[in-house]
Amino acid sequence: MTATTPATEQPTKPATTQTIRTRPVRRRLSVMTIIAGAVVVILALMAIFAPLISPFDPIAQDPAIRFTPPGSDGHILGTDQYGRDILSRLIYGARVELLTALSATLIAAIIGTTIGLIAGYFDTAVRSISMRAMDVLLTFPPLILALFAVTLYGQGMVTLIAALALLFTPAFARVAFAQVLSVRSLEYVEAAKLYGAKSPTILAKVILPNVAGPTVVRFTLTIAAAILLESGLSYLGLGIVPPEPSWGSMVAEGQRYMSTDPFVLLIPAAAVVISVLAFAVLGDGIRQWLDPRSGRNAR
Amino acid sequence: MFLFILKRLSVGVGLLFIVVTLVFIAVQTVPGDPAMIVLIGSGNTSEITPEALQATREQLGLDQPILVQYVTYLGGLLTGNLGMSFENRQPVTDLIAARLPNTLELIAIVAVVSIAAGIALGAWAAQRRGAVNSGVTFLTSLGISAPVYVLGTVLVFVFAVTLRVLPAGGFTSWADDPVRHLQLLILPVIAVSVGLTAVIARVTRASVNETSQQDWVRTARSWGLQEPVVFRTAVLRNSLTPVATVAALEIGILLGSTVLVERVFSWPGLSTLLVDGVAARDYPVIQGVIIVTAALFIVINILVDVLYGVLDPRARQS
Repeated sequence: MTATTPATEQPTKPATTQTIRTRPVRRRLSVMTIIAGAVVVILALMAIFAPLISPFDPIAQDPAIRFTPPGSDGHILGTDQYGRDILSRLIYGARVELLTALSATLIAAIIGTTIGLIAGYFDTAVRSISMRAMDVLLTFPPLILALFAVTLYGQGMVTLIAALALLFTPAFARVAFAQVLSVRSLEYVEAAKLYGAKSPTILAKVILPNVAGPTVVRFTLTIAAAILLESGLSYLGLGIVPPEPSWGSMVAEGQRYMSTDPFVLLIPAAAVVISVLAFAVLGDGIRQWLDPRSGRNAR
Repeated sequence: MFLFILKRLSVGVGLLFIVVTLVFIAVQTVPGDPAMIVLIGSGNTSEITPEALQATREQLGLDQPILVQYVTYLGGLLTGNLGMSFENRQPVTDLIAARLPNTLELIAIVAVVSIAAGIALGAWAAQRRGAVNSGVTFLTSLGISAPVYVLGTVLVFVFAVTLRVLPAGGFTSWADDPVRHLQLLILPVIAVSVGLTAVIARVTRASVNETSQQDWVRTARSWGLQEPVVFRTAVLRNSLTPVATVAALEIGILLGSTVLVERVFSWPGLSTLLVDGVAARDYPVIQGVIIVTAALFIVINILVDVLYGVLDPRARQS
């Protein structure tokens, strides 16, 4: 390693043990990550300012202009089988999609991280019970558990958020749990104990910062998963209740007219893929940024 | 090895018992009277009288105390009886048995295709840098991000509607017309395999990269073994344990994603049953499908644990 250290650094910086052992790894965001981040920001802006930027009412029907091709009569992305403006439906759909995904992920992250922290820190029955409970949750295929929730409590955004939150809690619990196990016997945690810090203080101030990085990564990836699941349920007609626009139900409706007017199918399909991809790439990018050495191995 | 399998089996049975209990409790918490749903489902709303409700409750055993209902349900499970469908008054077991083979066929083919393709792609990408590496990263991200139903509908659009080379969907049994049966399978299998292949390729690549840095690999090279031999004997086999874990988890999730792909291609698997059951609030059917899929998921995981034992003798002890 010393041989590869740039010669110019040596006179200015005396060789400490650290510089000998590892060459400083530059933290750099890849181009892909930056593009993905930009897409996420655009999606978020679309969702927040939906009423201001959407050119038409997303649920206003007009049989006279059914299947207007993209680009004509002011309908940038055309209209669907009821003459509704597709761009406006996409923009309002982004709002529904992000609100559902973000709320579910946030709830899952808070509950899951708390469970993981407590289970990892206290070496008691609490640990085995709570982590076993997480294992039981993971026994259900996600889509089927979500469908079960819809059966029991009816369709709609609230059910979706609750079901998705429940589904994603184990993932956050496991991330936090693994992280706590790896740091809780380190010197600075022991030191905090010797200083007489109480357990909640240690958890919140000493251990939580170590959990934050992996949790942020998991958070971004979970939003991608939530969009996948939510749009899938809406595709089945069991998610967001029509006529409220949702990308999944737009794909399902477009499927019926694909032989004559494929754009009605392909536009919302592209929207789902692009947004899920953006969150997934962003999550991977943040992971690499937090831990550059894991870079090329990142899953 | 025998003891190891026995131990895993008993844990699996315990887990299934918890799942059954949770599902049973969840159904009890639902607002509304199941007897009412049955009567509304039968279509004749004028028949809903207090007497009719009471009769339906007695018929379904809903007048019994909850604990009795629970024990009856557990007893039924042991004899393979999952109750009666509210909607069409058929045994749930029969309904599931009629469709499960179609779903399992799809999952089995997808699993074989994706595991083979994923390991090959991951192993190939592992030792390469630059364009190949980032290309594979992007492609696998894309594969993971394309929802099954979107990929399915786009495949139908390209191959059935535009090119007209494959059927858009439907079902012909193997016995009636084997060629047609296989043709109908191609698009659904691709739609589901793309995502799974991508996931497995990523895990394989990461795992192979990690194993390649182990001492025994260096030792094998220092013996002067040819690179392909080193790869086969020292790297690949030792890289497969995490691949097996992820594959098992993902195949379990597949039990869910096939619902979507079966819907896209009108493949008569569990999905029709499940989606119709959800729409009609047919609890016994939903309950049955969930328990069967959870059981399958547990079985897959046990099989993988046994496979660990084969791949890595150290795993047998723990």
